[in-house]
Amino acid sequence: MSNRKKLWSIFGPLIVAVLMVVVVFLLPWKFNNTPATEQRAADSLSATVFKNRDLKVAALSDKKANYVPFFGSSELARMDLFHPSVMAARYHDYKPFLFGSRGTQSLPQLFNMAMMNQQLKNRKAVYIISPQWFVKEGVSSQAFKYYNGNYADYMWLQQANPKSPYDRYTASRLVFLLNDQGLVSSLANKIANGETLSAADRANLKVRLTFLSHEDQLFSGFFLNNNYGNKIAPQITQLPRQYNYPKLLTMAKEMHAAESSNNQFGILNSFYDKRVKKNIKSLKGSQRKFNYLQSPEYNDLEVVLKQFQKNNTNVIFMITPVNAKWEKYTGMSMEMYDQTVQKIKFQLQSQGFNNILDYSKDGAKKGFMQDTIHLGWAGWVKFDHQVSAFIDNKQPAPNYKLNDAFLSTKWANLKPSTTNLNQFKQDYLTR
Amino acid sequence: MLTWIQTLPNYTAYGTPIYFLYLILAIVPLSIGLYFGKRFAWYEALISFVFIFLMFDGTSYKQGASLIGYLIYQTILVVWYFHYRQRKNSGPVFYVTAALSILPIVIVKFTPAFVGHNSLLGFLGISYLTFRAVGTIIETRDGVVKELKWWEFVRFMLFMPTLTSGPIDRYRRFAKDYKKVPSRDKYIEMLGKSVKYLFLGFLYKFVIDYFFAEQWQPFFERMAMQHAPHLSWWTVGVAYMYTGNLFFDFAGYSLFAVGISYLMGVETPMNFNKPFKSPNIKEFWNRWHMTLSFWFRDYIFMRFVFLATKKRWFKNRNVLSSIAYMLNMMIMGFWHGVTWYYILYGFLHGLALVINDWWLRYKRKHFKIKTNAFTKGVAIFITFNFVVFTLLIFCGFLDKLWFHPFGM
Amino acid sequence: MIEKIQELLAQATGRDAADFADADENLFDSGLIDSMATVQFLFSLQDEYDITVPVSEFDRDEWNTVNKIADRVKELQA
Repeated sequence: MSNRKKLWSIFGPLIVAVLMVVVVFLLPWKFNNTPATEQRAADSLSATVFKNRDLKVAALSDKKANYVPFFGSSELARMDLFHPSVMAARYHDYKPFLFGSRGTQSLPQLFNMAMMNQQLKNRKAVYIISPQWFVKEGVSSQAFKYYNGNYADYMWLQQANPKSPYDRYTASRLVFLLNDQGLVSSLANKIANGETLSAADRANLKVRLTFLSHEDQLFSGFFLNNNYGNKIAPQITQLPRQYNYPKLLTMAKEMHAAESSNNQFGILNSFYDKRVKKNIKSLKGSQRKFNYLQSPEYNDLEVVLKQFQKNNTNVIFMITPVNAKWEKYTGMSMEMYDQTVQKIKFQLQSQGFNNILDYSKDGAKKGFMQDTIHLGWAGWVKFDHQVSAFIDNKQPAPNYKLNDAFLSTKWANLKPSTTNLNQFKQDYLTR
Repeated sequence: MLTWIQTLPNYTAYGTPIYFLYLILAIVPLSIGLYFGKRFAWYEALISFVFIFLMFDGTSYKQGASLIGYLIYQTILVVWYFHYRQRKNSGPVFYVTAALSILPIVIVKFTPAFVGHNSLLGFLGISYLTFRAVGTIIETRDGVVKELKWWEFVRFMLFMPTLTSGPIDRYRRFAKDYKKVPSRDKYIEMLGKSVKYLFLGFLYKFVIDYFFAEQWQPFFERMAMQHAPHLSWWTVGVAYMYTGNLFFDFAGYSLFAVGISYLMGVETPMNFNKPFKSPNIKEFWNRWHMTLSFWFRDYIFMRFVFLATKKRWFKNRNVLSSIAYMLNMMIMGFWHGVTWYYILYGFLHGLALVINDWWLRYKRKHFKIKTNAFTKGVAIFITFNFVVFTLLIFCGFLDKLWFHPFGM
Repeated sequence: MIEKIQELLAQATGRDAADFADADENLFDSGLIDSMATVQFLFSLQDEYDITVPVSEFDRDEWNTVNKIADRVKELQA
């Protein structure tokens, strides 16, 4: 073989392969997502959907299907008969698009939202806040990275304003949580330092986004789990045809009694057997030291609120309860829990976020909780009842007044006694 | 001060596919030169400098400063010792020189255990550079390094493809490659291998390891942590996923380093050779992270045995070999870092080598079983699972599970 | 000399001299000799032929068959 032939046999396949890849990624493919794919994505709770863009944008732009974004975390995975997706399919003419699973706290949600500003503009949304997010360290780096991807980061960097204290705050959190040396970190560093991204940076982001968006369009539709087909759809017809709130509540309570029979806490039997039973002794008193009063999560929540303001999204919040019997057993301080909720509500209400469903005191109600900290049965029925009322009826336009005092460590670490809150109000909020 | 450096983009070696595009474009002129029988030393120095700079700029600029300081220190030490050795050959001087050469890494490895944070002297790749420097000093002592120029030594230390994570080359072998240009036939053959290695590396690191590192291992870890501080079957899963992750990550990385070296006309030695088909633990160490284990074999194990035999420290050679194995693996454990899990890992591997040796002797004496496919299968199974078990210790997950379950 | 080397190898490894009958077999790849036995073997070579082999000089590729070992010994004796 001549040398030229040898070289061709080495590099020829390589050159052809590179050309093929470039063609595949740069041609403007456009696959229309079918309604079925959108539906699967809406209930998949998958990190892929969360980190990418194509499916959620397609679904939320779909006027006919009328998807409403539900931002939350692990409670969304409790897909029992009264889960909002089942209820909506039976009784309402909107469909929840579920964003979140374990670990999707405010900051991951912010990056999720930054990919679909257009779709959130002047729309309604639901945002479920768990006081369990507000631990001392805030969102863990591991969880953050699991739900964060370059696609969202690049899009956020494109819209970040180095003059805005909110964006500078987000940028510094991003650098801290990623803790690496990549492009995202170095650009976020610039934003955090108040520097504008250069034209070269922007061009770089644009090229990368082109690739990522094509990759997204090509592949995100694959490998979607079928929560909708397996868990949601089969339950729809099990609900009574006619919507009747008191009847549904009774039904939920009855089901709860039947399905949580093997333990004293009112926890779903299978959950109890799998996760609690074995360690029941060591769990007693195990939560005595839990404390949600001081956390960077309060600051993280603030940037999410800012995003809602930017998009003029009319949002209803729900604050989750905990299983009262369980917390008594594990020794968590309910006083601390109430104070946490008070602090969260203070932050929301003093900035004009007034649609709040506070369920934090409902943890002892019959059938309200599915397990230790997650809503189920009657809890979902009530949630669906109030949320659908918000979505189905015309609401006054929101009037949010954001205050960057809530980005401060002072706020993050403030112990929310009434005096302290009043003092904070006086010092920062009345101008 | 130095803020401009901090804002520059930083590229860890072989971190992303796009890195390869930049690197290979930069190497093309060099390759064309080699193809036509020329080595453009100055151009190579330039691209090495640029890519090393990209590894240590941005927010890691402090590491870059440490690297420069470290390199000056080692070069002075090695060159001084080389000149000294041409005139005299005193044992104590050799030991002091070797100790001084190891000193920085000892400080770096012990600092976290005693002070609680990482040493400022450290930088990515310090262990690998230490191996190269110490190896050169030892071979100088033996009188087999017959010429050494400071810039050749620096080039050896800073050889870009292998800078941060090996494979660990030897000065004499590297210098031999470097002084000559491969023949055209030879270089074409190297190009072919290079492309093959790089693509195998892509498959390992960017495809297979994605699943182990980003999907499966985190999943099993999360599930296992729900049972913290108790063990569960999920923890067993973590062990297998970590093993897969470590192998495909590291073997992929090593393939990149070797592939890029070949493009630059240097035959950097291979680091992995199908380690999981080893029928015993001794064989495993001949196939896993080979340049490291061969370094330990040649510079620690063999030398210790040599010295002990010469001085007749031990009467029984089985005792001697057991002690040598333990010493060898314990040092390897400490080299990884001063934490209970690295040290236990070294200890277990030392013990396994001792037992393995004993078993081979015992088997030879008492059984006359012929090896067949079945016995070999059993042997491979046992070896693999032992390795997985020790890697679970090595990865530090148990430390988190037992002692820091809430991330503190 | 070949036979003597085979005998020394057998001593160092605790095997039969017959195991080393093939003077071109790769001793390391076949697993006939390990690092421990290698050092023992080097010492017996030193005693037998009155030569010194520094461990660094012991390049495995140059010492991996009985024939090659014989060649090296001759070189070092010269």
